[in-house]
Amino acid sequence: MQDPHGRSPGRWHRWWHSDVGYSFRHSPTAMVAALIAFICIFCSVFAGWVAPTNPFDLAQLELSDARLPPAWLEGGTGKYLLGTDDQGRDILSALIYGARISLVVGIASVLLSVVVGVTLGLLAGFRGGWIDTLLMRLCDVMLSFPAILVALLIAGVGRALFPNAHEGLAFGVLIISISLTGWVQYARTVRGSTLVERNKEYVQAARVTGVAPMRIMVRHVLPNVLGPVLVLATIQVATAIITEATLSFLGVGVPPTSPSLGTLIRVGNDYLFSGEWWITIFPGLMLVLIALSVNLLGDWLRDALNPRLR
Amino acid sequence: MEPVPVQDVERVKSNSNLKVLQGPELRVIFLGMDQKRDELLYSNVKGKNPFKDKRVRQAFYQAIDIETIKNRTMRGAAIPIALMLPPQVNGYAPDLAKRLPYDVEGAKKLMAEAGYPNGFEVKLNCPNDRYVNDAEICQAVAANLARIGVKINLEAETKGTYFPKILRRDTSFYMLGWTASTVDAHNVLYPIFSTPGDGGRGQFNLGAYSNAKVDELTNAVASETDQKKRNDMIREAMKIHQDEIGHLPLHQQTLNWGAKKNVNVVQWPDNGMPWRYVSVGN
Repeated sequence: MQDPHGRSPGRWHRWWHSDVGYSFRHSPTAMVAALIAFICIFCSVFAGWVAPTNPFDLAQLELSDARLPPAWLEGGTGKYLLGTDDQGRDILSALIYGARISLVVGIASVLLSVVVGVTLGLLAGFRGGWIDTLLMRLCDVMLSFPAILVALLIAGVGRALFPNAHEGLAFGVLIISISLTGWVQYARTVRGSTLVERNKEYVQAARVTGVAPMRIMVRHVLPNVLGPVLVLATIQVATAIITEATLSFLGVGVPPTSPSLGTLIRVGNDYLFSGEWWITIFPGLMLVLIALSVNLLGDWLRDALNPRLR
Repeated sequence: MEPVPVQDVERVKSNSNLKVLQGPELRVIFLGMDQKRDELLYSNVKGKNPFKDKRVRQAFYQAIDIETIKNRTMRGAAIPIALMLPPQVNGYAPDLAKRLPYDVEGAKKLMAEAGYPNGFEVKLNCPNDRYVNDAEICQAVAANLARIGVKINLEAETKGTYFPKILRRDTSFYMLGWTASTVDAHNVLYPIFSTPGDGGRGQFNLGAYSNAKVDELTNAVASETDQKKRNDMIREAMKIHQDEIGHLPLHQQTLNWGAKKNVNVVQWPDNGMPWRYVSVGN
């Protein structure tokens, strides 16, 4: 495909005019969700420039400014647009920095669980036999525990193993504990698709021509089972963010001096009925916004990639 | 209901069926520092223990803005305190009850003199469900100390894991609240001020503050029967501890109990509630 000037169109151009692109252009929901998700990600990545203050820098906090209402209410000041929390943190800045923690934890844990889940699912589906049985029973065991319980267990063990853990390590433990409960879904999905694919002609053809099993798995089967994984991953990002919020709420997540959205919501909860509603409502809205937009994108992607719905 | 969260006191009071009983508690909230080990367990200062230097302890003391913590974090429900025991306890010396002033510049100077012009890093252990607004106080203290360059790694956790940890002395800097339940200063001198030893001596002296004279006075106080002489000895021990800044006293907690209007209850300052003093009217 070439335009009248003889240049071959770019990747972006090709995507925009593909079936998926067409579906995107004709779905207002997807466009709005993408816009919101983009704004959230942009703000978090450039938090240092976007946020009015750095809420994690303790030396900047003014305790005497604690629990000020949003600017438009009586007692609020323009300095703190959405008010301040119990330590004098600017809620707006805390939202932006908190969303960064939530997004990093959400995306990193989903990536990790996709890698683990897809590898094990592919192996189980393609090899079959005792490997399949072993891995699928392991999945059953994992599924029989509530995700939060497993995450709490891993986070607890991680803390006990590394009592001197700095914030970075705490993040690692958080990400690992969330992804170790999330991989099961990918493994099951990929195994199912692989079972269908491995008896198709193209796989048999590859096998007959002597392609190594490893290569068949990675080069031939994997691209054909990745569709559902992509959809699942977008939905799981939202789930992971909510799990992180829950873990922080339970006190095994990020430290109180660098609050994530979950920590902000937990702290604010104590003041919800005492008149200082803004401490919990704004972080809550932000979490809803992120989770909703990512979920809607996942929904749209599922419909767009599903040939039976066209 | 006990305690009424300080942010909800007004809300409970405004309900015509309920009342809030308020009063001072014997409990004193303070911070303790490891003054025994030659190197702190959780700090970036290696080869020496900064808390062994009185100037560092004093800098920490003077960097804490206790009045703002009282007004904001505690919403007024606290009484900043200079001694490790409240006025209601025998042995309290009014003439010693004067806090060192809040002075950030002075604290910075002390830190520089002690050899830490850029501060250092230390972990602060804190409960988040034991004392009134405990984790919030610790966060406020961390923010205060950030202004003299000290980076606090705050570890706030539930009391079920917190107390076993600090009672193992597995801490460098910690928060504790103490009620002299005998309503006498000996119950502060013996468990908090004495060099840790056998039979509960110094059991809650988790940073192992140690002064031979204080130990000697504590022993004498235990057997002295002349009230005047005894109180003088208590005062002397208090004075030594205060001059050395053995701990960082923060405030005396106040009690907030919520009850229905028709419940008659006597509020004891030790936060106990003997049932024989509770009755329900009409």
